[in-house]
This record gives sequence, C-alpha cells and structure tokens, in this order.
Amino acid sequence: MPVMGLHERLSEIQNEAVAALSAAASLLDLDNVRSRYLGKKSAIDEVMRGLRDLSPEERPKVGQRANEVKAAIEDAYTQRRQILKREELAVQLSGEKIDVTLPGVGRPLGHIHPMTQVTQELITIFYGMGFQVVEGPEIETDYYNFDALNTPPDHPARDSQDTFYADMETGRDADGNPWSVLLRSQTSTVQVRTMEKLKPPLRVISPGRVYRNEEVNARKYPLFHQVEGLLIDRDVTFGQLKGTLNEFIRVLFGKPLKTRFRPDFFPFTEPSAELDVQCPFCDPEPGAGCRTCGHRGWLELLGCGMVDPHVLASAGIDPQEWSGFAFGMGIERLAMLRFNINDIRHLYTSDLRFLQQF
Amino acid sequence: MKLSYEWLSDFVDLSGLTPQEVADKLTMGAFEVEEIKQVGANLQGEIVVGEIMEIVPHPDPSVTKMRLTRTRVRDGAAPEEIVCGAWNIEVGQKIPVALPGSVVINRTTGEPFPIQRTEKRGVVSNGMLCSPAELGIAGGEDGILILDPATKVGINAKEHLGLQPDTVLIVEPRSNRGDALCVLGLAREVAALFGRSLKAPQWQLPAAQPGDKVSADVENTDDCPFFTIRVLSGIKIGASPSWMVRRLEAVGMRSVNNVVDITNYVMQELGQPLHAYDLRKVNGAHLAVRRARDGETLTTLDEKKRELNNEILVIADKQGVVGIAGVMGGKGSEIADDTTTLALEAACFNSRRVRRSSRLLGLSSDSSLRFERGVDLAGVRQASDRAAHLLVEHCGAKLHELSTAGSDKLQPVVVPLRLSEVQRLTELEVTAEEASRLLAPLGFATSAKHTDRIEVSVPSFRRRDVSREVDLVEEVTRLYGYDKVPVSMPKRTVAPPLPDTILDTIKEALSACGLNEAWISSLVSLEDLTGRGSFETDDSQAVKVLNPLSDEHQVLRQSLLPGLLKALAYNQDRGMPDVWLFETGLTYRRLTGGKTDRSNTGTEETLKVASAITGQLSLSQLSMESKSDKEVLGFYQLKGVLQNLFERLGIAESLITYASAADASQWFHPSRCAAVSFKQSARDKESKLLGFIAEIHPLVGEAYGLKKSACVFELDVEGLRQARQAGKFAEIYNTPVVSRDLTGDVAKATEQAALKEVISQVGGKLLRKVELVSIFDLSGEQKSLSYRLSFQDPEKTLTADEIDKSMSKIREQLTRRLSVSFRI
Repeated sequence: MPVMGLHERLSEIQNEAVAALSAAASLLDLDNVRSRYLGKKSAIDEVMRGLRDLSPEERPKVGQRANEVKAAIEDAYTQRRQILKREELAVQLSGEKIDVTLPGVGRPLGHIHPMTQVTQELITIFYGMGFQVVEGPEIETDYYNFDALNTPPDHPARDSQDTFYADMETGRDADGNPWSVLLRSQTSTVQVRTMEKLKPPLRVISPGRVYRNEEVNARKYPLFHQVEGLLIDRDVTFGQLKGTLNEFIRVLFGKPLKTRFRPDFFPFTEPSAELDVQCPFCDPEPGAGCRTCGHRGWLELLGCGMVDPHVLASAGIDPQEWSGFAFGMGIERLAMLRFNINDIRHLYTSDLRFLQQF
Repeated sequence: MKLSYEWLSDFVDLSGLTPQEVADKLTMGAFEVEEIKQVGANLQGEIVVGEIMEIVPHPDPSVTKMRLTRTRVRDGAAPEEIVCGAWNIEVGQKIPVALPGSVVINRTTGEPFPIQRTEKRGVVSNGMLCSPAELGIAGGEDGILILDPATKVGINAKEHLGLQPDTVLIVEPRSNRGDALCVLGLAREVAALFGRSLKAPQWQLPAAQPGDKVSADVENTDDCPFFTIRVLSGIKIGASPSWMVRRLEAVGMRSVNNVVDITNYVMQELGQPLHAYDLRKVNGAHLAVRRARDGETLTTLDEKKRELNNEILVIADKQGVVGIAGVMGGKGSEIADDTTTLALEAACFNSRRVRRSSRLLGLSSDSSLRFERGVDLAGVRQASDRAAHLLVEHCGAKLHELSTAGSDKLQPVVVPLRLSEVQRLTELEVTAEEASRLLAPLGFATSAKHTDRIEVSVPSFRRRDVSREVDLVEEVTRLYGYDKVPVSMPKRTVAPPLPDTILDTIKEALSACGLNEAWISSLVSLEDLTGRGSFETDDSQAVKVLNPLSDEHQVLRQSLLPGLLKALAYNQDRGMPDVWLFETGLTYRRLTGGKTDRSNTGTEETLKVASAITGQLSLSQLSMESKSDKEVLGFYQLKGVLQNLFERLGIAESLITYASAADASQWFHPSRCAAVSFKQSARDKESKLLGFIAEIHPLVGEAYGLKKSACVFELDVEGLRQARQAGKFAEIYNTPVVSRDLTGDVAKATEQAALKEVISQVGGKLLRKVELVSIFDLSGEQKSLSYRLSFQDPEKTLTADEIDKSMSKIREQLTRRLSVSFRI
C-alpha cells in the first residue's frame, strides 16, 4: 500500500474506533471494541505489520502516526469508560434507596430536669455579679434556722405545724439555751453559717432544698428549693439591693421589666421588701394582666432586705462598720413560670412524659 | 382582713381619693391589698318604706301564687296596687317597696333588676315589695323584708337600711403587725401614707351606776397582764342597727343580735376582741383568768366539748370554766334572747399562751388570731368603753363600774433615730422635720434634740415591732417610699473563685448517655429503709421526722435508690416500660456518737449520684439489631454509662476496679453486683470505695412493683471529685502499631479482668493496649475469650521476633496462673 494510503487508512481506523467506542453501551462492549481496535489482528496491528515494507524514511513517520492513533483510541476508551462506569454506578445506587424517614439508631438523649436548668441560670447570673456559691446543711439546728435569724422562740414559724423536727436528742447548750434539730425551713440558714466562716466583704448565693410541714397541693410540696443571696460590705445600701435585683430580673427574663419593691416583713432583714416584677407573660404588653399573674399585672418574685443588725451581730460582725443585703426566692416558682408548669407535683413525680419535655 | 372603705372614712378623711388609690398606697406601704370588692347593691331610683293596708286574692282566679296588696308608699297618699308572691306578709307591716323606675337585684341571678309598672294578669302592679336578697342584704330566706313597725312610711329605705354600696379592700395581714388587724390600725396607715391626720374616735360614756359588780382576778400576770369585766344591766336583746349590720356584713361577719354584734364591731374597729357573758350563768359574781385544771372540760360556742389541761388558759367563775381565754366562750354563758344583764370582758392575754391553747384545742377564731399577733395593752379600757357606749346607745344598757385585775400601765419607750443612719442604709436624705412628720400619724411622738437625731417615743401598740433604731429606719423609708430610694450597684466587685461544676458535668454526661434527670423527695417512708420489707435492717442511722406529714414522708433517705425504684414503677405502670433515670442528691445519716449542740446536728449529709434503668435494653428502639444485641444484660448497659461518666470526668479507667461483691447490700442481686473503687494513682496499693453497680434483688424489684429487672448504680460524688485527674498530654508516636489476637479457653468462673491483668503485667513495655474483642460460652465449664493486643515501640519498627517472644510469655503465664488453654 502506498504511504499516503496508510496515513489515510490510519485516520479511517481512528475515526471508526472512536465512533465505535462512543457507541459502546456497556463496559463489556467497550472492552470488546477496545480489543478489536488495539488488540492482536486489529486493523492497526495490520498497519504496523505493514511497516516493514516501507522505506526507512517513511517507516518512522507512519509508525509515529500509528502510535498517535493508538493513543487517541486509548483516550477515547478511557473517557467512555468513565462515563459508562458512572452510569452503571448510578443505576446501582438508584437501587439502594433507603427510607430516610426511619428513626435514627442509638439511645435517645436523656433530659436535664427543669429545676437544674433554672438553678444553673440563677447561679450564672449572680456569678456574673461577683457572687460565689456556698452550701449549708439541710438538717439544721433551730439556732441557725431561727434564733440567729432574729426569730424569737414564740414565733409562729417555729411551730411544728410549719417546721419538721428531727428525732435527734435535744437538750440545752452550755449557756442553758434549749436547742433542737430540724429540717431547715429556709436557705437563710446559710447566712449566719457563711458569715461565721467567711469574713466580709463577701458575696454569696446558696441554692438548696428546704422543708415545710404543709399539705401537698398544686402549689405546695413538703420540700422545695430556694436560693439565698447575701452581700456584706462597707456602705452597702438598700439602693444597691434594688440595683442588683433589677439586673438579675433583666437578665433572667431577657428584657428590662419594671420592678417594684414593696415593704414587707422578715425577722432577719430590716428594712424588708417583697420584689414584684411586671408580669412578662401578659399580652399585648408586660403588666397588662393575664392568667399567670392572676390579672394583677405583677408577679411576686422574691423577698429581700437589708440584713438585720441582730443577724450581723450573731455572726460577730459589727453592724456599725458593715452593712449588707440578703434576698431569697423559690426556685420552683421560677421554673414553673419559665416553663409554664401548672402543678408543682409534676416536678417531683419523675414522669417521663414530663421529664422529656425539657 | 377585710377593710370596709366606708368604715375607714370614720377615721380618716378620704375626700378626693378612690378605693383603688387607697389600695395602691397600702400595697406599696406594706399592707398588700389582694382584692378590691364591691359590696352592697348598686340600688337605684326610689325605694321607700311602705305599709301594707290590704291583702286580697288576685282578681284572676287562675292566679294562685300571687296576691294583690294595697300598699301605702307616701304619707297621706292613696295606697298603690302591688302584686306580691310572698306569703310572709300581713296587713299593717312595714316593708321596703321598689317603685317603678328603680333598679334592685334579681335574687336568683344577682343581676340588676329594673322595676317597671307592669300588668300581671289584668292587674297593674305599681312596684315591688322587696326581699332582703333583692336589696343585697344577707340573710332573709324566702319572703319580704319586714321592718320595724315604728318605721315611718315614705322615707328612703336605702338610707334607712344603710344600703349604700361599699367597697371592701382585702388586706393581707402582717404577722408582726397585730395592731393593724382593725379599721383603726389601717386608718393610721392610710393617714400616714397620704399625710393626712387621723380622726380619733370620740364618745361620751354616761356615769357608771353603783353595785352589780363582778370581781376580776388573774392567777398569773404573765398569762394575762390585764383583765377587765364590766357589768351592763337592763339590756334588751334585739336586732342591731342596720348600719352596723351592713358594716359587719361587709367585713364578712353575720349579724347575730345587738350584743354579739357590738362585741364583734368593736373588735373589727379597734382590734380588741371582747366577750359578753350572760350574768345569770356566771356563778359567784367572780371571773378569773387561770390555767385549766387537768380533767376540766368546756362546751364551747361551736357546741363541741373540749378537754382542757394545764397548758390552756381559761376564764372561770366560782364553779368552773366559762371560756377559753382569747379563743372562744362557753356555750353555757352565751348571750340568749332573754339576757338582761351581761358581763363584758376586755383583756390582754399573752399571745404565746393563746396560740398554745388554740393549737392544743385545734380551735382558732377571729379573737385568737388577734391575740396571737398581740393586742394593745393600753387599748383594753378604750375598747371596753367603746363597747359599753354602743350597748348603752343600742341595747338600752345601764353601765356599772369596771372591775380590773393586773395592770395596763406601760413604761414609755423612747428610741433615738439618727438621720445619718437612714442615709447610711438607704441613701435617702431625710430631715428631722420630715421624719417627725412622716411618723406622727402612726402615733410616734418625736422630739428633735439635734439636727441629726430625733427621740421617738413608741406608742403602746407598736412596741412589738419597733424597739431599735433600725426599726425606725424602716418606718421612715417605708413612709418616704421605697420607690424613691435611688438605685445603684454594689461597689468593689471582685471575681469570685471558679465555680464547682462537677454536678453539672455529671448531669451532662449521664443525660448524653440517655438517662433522664429526676428530682425526688428526700423524705421517704419507713418501709423504704427495708426495701419495702424485702429484708431486715438496722435503722439506727436513720434520721426520722418527729412530726411527719404522712407515712410517705417519715424519714430522710439513706440512699437515692428507693425513690428511683418508685419512679421506675410509676412510669412502667403508665405504659412506659423503658425507663432510664438518674438523680443527684443528698443522703442523710445519724453519726454514731456524733456530738449535738447549737451548731452541730450529729448528722451527716452525703452527696450521691444514682441511676436506675429498666425495660427493653437494646441500643435502639427499633428491632434492627440481631437478637443477641437485645439480650445484653442491663448491668452491662449501665456499666457502659458508668464508663462514659468516668471518661467525661477525667477518671482513668485503669484506676477503677469493679469487684464482685455478693454481700454489698440486701438491695442487690448477690451474683450481679460490683463494688466500684478507685485508686488515686497506679502506684497506690489502697483503693477507695466509690459505690456500687448492681442488678436489683428480685425480691426488692417485686416489692416495688417492677415487672422487669432493674439495674442501678449509686456513687459518692465526693469520691468522684477526688478520683478526677487533671488531663496530661502523653506523647504520640508514629512508629507502626502491630496487633495480635489471642484466644484462650478458661473456666467460666474466672473473671476476664484477671486475664487482662496478667496480660498487661507480663506484656512488657511494648504492649500498649489490650482489648477484649469477643467472648463465647463453650459447652461444659469453659468459656472462650479473645483479646486484641497492640504492640508499639516508640523508637523503631517492631520485629516479629520481639512480638512472638512477648506473646509466648503471655500465653505461658496465662496458663500457669489461670489455667488458660490455647487451642492453636
């Protein structure tokens, strides 16, 4: 065959092969086409075998051309192979459909109790204002629960109808004063215990469990939780108490709400106040009145006041040098407000249908 | 207490004020007004007193339920025809008549009821004869209100009956302010809060008549500092004046008769409880205050027979007890319709003693409530006089001399107030004049000795709550207005020490493992100490409540487990079989030989974390795993949780041991229980007990009503805190890790930890990790365990030779020490 004819023949083969490869419908087909054009006894093979008939000048040219054609066919093969492979995989994957709506595998997460969540919030807020957490015992003497808190022996709160007493031996101390052991009825017990341990200036909060001898109903449970706050320093004023609690309210409810400090009476603070906050749950605006606040527009939130000089003196702190404020609030009430819980008993029943909501 | 706004106006000028304004001021002035209520009807138009001149049947014979009256409603005018359905009316009676155009109350709905001239079956009715309900008056069952025959026809019945509407403020009583449990006391507050003056009550008592004196005596003036008795004779028992009835009704008291009403009225007005005895029933013209004698009894006014004892203070005549002092009188000497002479008691009883009597008898009253909070010793005479004045005026009483026992003399109490102290505590700058002006309406007399200092004399009725300078600081601040105290922030804030977060970490770790946090009562029942009778135990360490509320709250828990088991059963019984719970909380015990004194309770409180799980224990809620997965014992599920907890707390697994502990506790399955201990470091010989992990004993499970087995752990939080290690970096090496598997057969009773320990001990430094990868029970007494051992040399690539040497040493030791056999 003349040289020119070989060149043409090679181009022809290339065109034919590329067309055939592109037309291959499966990987098997594709491999067959490839071996037909590149394998033994293929047309190219024939051309290559014809090379020896060519002159030494022509031979490399045609050879080079033949190699080019081979490479082009290989290229076409590789490209087509990728396409076919992807198509085949696509078919395979489309057959592997799963039900994405089936639930996930693994143990569902547990839940953290709403009381824990609210207590943590309170601690965080007051920590930010420099208060550290301290603890006190739940089983207490009447000294810390009452006497040191300026609650005299004939005060109604000391009655066994209000306070649980423990079956510990009771008697009189070295000074002849009678004492008894009880389950603390307020976290204010921590006030004097703290003042005895830490010297002023001090800022503490103390969350904890307290007990009252009260019939169980939707709002009362024989045990509940309070957080007590105490700040003692030089020149502490009622205005600082107001400022501190206003900040607390602002952060707790996430918005500035009006507050009012209403005069009240606690044996261990003087002056004393009840803090009301404009009800944030009212619609259309806070304080408009709603079911949560009993249509009063205000929520009673906590009791507070300036630490009574008698209490400071009980702990060996000079009331003329130091002054302080204290506050205490029920955590259940905050949790119930926060999560719109209508019955305190839910908190202590451990019903999963309740626990898993938080 | 209920405060009548109309009554209040007797004592303080309320002009220009609304009840809402007064309520708001009281609320912000320490006396919270919980509610404002309208009482009395809003009656409109002409309601007059009429006289029934004639009653005839209704002209329409089919009308049998109504009659026709001819009622004169204007003096000198012709009678009006008015139809009436009531049957208690008679000719000649005086009755209230609502004339056309007036508005009364619908007695069934309470809604306004307009009266029109209406035709009723052919008769025009020119108004309505009114029943008490239609006028908004309590009492009066079915029937028309019959008035005193002397009442003048044609006069305004609303005025005559005192039917002006009133407003009642419901004021929260203050435990330290017994003086404010009356109209006068709250009037002082209102006057002070609005800066108005108090109108003191005024009356004139006629001269006392001689004779007819009952002697008064007090056994112990601690129990009763002052006791007075006044005889009033010539009494005519009857109805009280209507204005008095209205006022008593407004504050929630029912009218009984003029004498009883007057004692109640004075108590409401001045805060001094009074009691009237029928003198015929008082033996020996003598009344004494003394302790009851054991065995004495009294039937009180509520017709209950009361057993008395020496703790209870009573009033007695020559023969026996006639009343419980300050609480309730006796039925025997009660005022009757034919009483003509009475002995009026006004006294000041010790508040603690009255509370004791009241508690012991389970009996409280308006009187005991006031005595418990303290009545004004200096006000006793005044209240007696006030009642005598009303008895003279409204019952025709003749007055006799007052007998007294004890004394109502008080020493003056003067408390100095430095205005600089007001400023130090509140930042308020108040002048001496301002402070005096604020305090005056409350009865505090002041004298300024100095610009910074006033001397304040405390009135008798405020001695209970004002005795120190700081008490006056509060009074001044309160009257000045808490809202005027400038807001500031504490100074000198320093960062507090880092918070203790171990409980937060524990809660996060356990909830991430699928446990739900519970908060459970720390008071449990006595039965919970013995697993509800599953076993016997010594309860000498239990702290019991002397006055428990119920059997469920008798004793402080010694473990968190009973509460958790109850919670498992609670959920399981409500269709939730799969329950995973945990709790952190205190347990309590009595210390043996623990010292108790003013500050030590002889008890110990220990913080624990505990968990209880029951139900289907597969990893997934779907049956997608093989059966064997689902049959994983709860014990291992919970142990996995525990391992995660240790991981999260930074407690190295290698320092924790789980030791089979058959006799750990009677709560547990004896063969499925482990004591969990930790070592502070690998070198420590001693390990400390953290707690237990176990399956619950089947008898306990049954006692708590569990349908499936439950697994629990309970650990000491303080122990966990000690076991925590600060994280320390260990170098990471990139030389190749070579793994070898080792499978051996061993007696079933041999614990895998024993094998693991031998492997770790003899494996040498190059053995980095030993993992148990499979476990099969073989037939007979053997089981097969497979471990994957990982070797690594930090310096170089290990040779097969080195590893082979190590492996054969391990095999040899396992066989020698634990009789492990190797099949290959």
